[in-house]
Amino acid sequence: MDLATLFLNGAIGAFQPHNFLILITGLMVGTIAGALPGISFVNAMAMALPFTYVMEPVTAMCFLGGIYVGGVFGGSISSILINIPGTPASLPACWDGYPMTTKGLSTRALRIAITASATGGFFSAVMLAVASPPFAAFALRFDQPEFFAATILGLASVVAIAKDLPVLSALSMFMGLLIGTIGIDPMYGIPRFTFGVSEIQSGINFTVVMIGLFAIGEVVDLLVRNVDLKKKFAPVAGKQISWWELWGLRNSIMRGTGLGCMIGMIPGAGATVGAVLAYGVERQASGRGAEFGTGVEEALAAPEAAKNATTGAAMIPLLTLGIPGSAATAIMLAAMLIHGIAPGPLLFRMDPTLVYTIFVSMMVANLLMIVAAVLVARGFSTLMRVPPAILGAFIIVLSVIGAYGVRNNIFDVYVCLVFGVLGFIMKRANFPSAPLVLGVILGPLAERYFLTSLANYDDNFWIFVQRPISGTILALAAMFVLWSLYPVIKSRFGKGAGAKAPIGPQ
Amino acid sequence: MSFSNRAIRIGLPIGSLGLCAYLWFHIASNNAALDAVPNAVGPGGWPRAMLIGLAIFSALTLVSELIEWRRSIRSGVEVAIAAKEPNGSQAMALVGVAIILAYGFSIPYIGFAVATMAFLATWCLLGRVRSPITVLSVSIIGTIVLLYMFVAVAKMPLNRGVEPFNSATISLYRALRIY
Repeated sequence: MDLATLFLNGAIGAFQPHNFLILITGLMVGTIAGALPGISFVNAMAMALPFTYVMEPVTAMCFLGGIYVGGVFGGSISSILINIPGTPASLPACWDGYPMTTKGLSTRALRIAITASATGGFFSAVMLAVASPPFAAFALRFDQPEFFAATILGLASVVAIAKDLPVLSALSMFMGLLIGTIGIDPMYGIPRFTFGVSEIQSGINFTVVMIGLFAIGEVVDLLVRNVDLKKKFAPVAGKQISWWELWGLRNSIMRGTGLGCMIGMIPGAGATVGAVLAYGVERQASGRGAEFGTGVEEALAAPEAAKNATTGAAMIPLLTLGIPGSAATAIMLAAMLIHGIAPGPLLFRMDPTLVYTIFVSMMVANLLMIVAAVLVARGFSTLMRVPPAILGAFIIVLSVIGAYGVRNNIFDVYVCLVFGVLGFIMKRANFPSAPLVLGVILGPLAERYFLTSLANYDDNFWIFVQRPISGTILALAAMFVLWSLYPVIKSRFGKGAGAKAPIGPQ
Repeated sequence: MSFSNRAIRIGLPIGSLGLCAYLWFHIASNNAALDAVPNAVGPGGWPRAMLIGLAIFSALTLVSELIEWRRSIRSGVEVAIAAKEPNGSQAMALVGVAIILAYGFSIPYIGFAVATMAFLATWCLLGRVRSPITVLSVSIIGTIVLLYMFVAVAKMPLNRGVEPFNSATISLYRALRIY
C-alpha cells in the first residue's frame, strides 16, 4: 500500500464516530487533569486504563492519545493563570506566562500557549507519521552512555533556567539530586539514606515532591498575601493577540517545535527536558534574554511548542521499537499489550491501518486541542472568581489526593507536606525550587545510566566521551552551560561588573 | 532583602553543610557494604558525588550571601528593610502551614472525609470567608463532590481512619451510595 492509501485508511479509522467522540472525550479529560494542580495527565491515563479494557484497540489508543495530548498542554493553563504547573513540563509557562497574567494579559498568554502547543504537537504528529522508521533507527543506536549524556544535557539546562545566581540554582539542583538517591540503589539493592524507614526504600517520588513544592507552597503564599484573584487575574479587554502578532512568533514556535521533536525521540528525556531546553535556547536565540521571566511572549511560545512537540516524537520509539520513553507512553504500551498488539517494526507490516489511525488521531488531537483548551481555560477562568481561600483549600485537598494517588500511600502525603513547607520557605527567600525538582526527576535516571554504562564498558570512565553520540551530547551540554553563563560572566567581569544580571525568570 | 529572608538564605547553606557532613557517614545502615562491591563506583559512589557537589555549592552560596549581607548592611539598606518588616504575615504563614500539616497528618486517624470537611471549613475561616452558609456549603458539598470523584469514579481507596471515624465514614459512603 502506498503512503496516501495508508493515510486514507488511517483517516477513515480516526473519523469513525465512536473513535472521534472518544478522542474528544480523552482530550477534555486530559486537558482538565493537566490543568488541575496535583492531578497529572499520567494519573488520568492510569485511571483511564481500566476503561480501555472494554474498547476496541484503535478506540483505546484514541482515548489515551487524546488524554496524552490534552494533558501535556493542560498543565500550562494552571501555570499561566495561577502560577502552579499542572505538569513538570509546564514549569516554563509559569516563568513568563504568569507574569503576563499579572499584567492583565492572561487571555493573550493562553492564546499564545494554545497556538504554540497545537503547532508543535501537529508538526510532531506529522513527523511521527512520515519519519518513524529512520528516527527509530537513530534511537536504536543509543546505548546507556548516550542516555546518560542526554540526562546530563537536561541537568545542564538548570543553569539556563536559573532564577538567581547559578550557584544558588546549582545548590538547589544538588539538593534534588541527593533526594533522588534516597531508596534502594538501582544496581546492587542496597538501601541508602533510608534510616530504617521502609516507606522510603522505593525512593521519593518526584510527582509528590513537585506537588508539595509548587502547589502547597503557592497556596500558603496566596493566603499570606490575601490577594483578590478576581481583580488580579481578570483579563484586560483590548489586549488580545491578533493572527498577525501570532505570526510574528513563528521563529520561536518553530525553534521550540524542532527542539521538542528531537528531545521527544530520546527515551527518558520527554516534555519537561524539551520545554526547559527550549526556554534556555530561546533565551539566547531571541535576543531578549535579559527580559525573560517578566512576561516575554517568545519565552512562552517556544517551550509550549517544544512541550507538545515531544508527544508525537515520544511515540516513535514506542511504536517502532516497543520502547516507552515516558510514563505516559508506558501506559500506552500497557494498553496495546492488553489488546494483544505487540508494538515494533513488524506492527507496521502486520497492522498498518492501526498504526496510521494512531498517526491521524494524533494529528487530529492536536488540532482539536485548541477547542478543548479554550473550553477548559474558559471554565478555569471561572475559578478565578472564587475567593482565594476557597480556591486554595481545594488546591491543597487535590494536592493531598494527588500525592496519595501516586502509590495509594499515606506516607507520600507526609512527604508532600514536608516539601510543601520547604517550597514555601524557598519561595519566601527567593530560592529557586525548579532546579530541585529537575534534580529529583533526572538524578535517578542519570545514576542508573551512569552505573550501567560502567558495568557494560569495563568501568571505562572515558566511554562517555569516546562514543561519538554521547560525546557530542556531552559537548552540547558543556556548550549550553557556557552559553548560558556568558551573560553572568560578562556582567561580573565586564564593563558592568558588580551588578547582578538575572539569567532566567524572575 | 528582609531579615527573615536573609536568615533563610544564610541558614539554608549552613544547614546543608551540616547535613552533608552527617549524611557522609550515614549513606547506608552498614557503610562497609557500600565499599565491598567490586565496581569502580559502587552503590555509594553516586550519593557521595552528590554530597560533595551539594557541600561545594552550599559553601559557595554561604560565602556569596555573607559578602552580600555585609555589603547591604554597610549601605544601610538591610537595616531599613528590617525595620519595615511586618509580623502579621509571618504569623498567618505559620498558622497556614500548621493547619495543612495537621490536615495531612490527621487523615490516617480521622479519615479523609472528616479531615477534608474540617480542613475546608478551617481554611475558609482563616482566609477571611466569614459567611457561615458559604463555609458550610464549601466544606460539605466540596467533600461530597470529592468523594464521588475519587471514591466512586476513580475507585481510590481513600483512608477511612480509625474507629469511630471508620464507621462514620462508611455510614457517609452508604448514605451517598458509594459503598
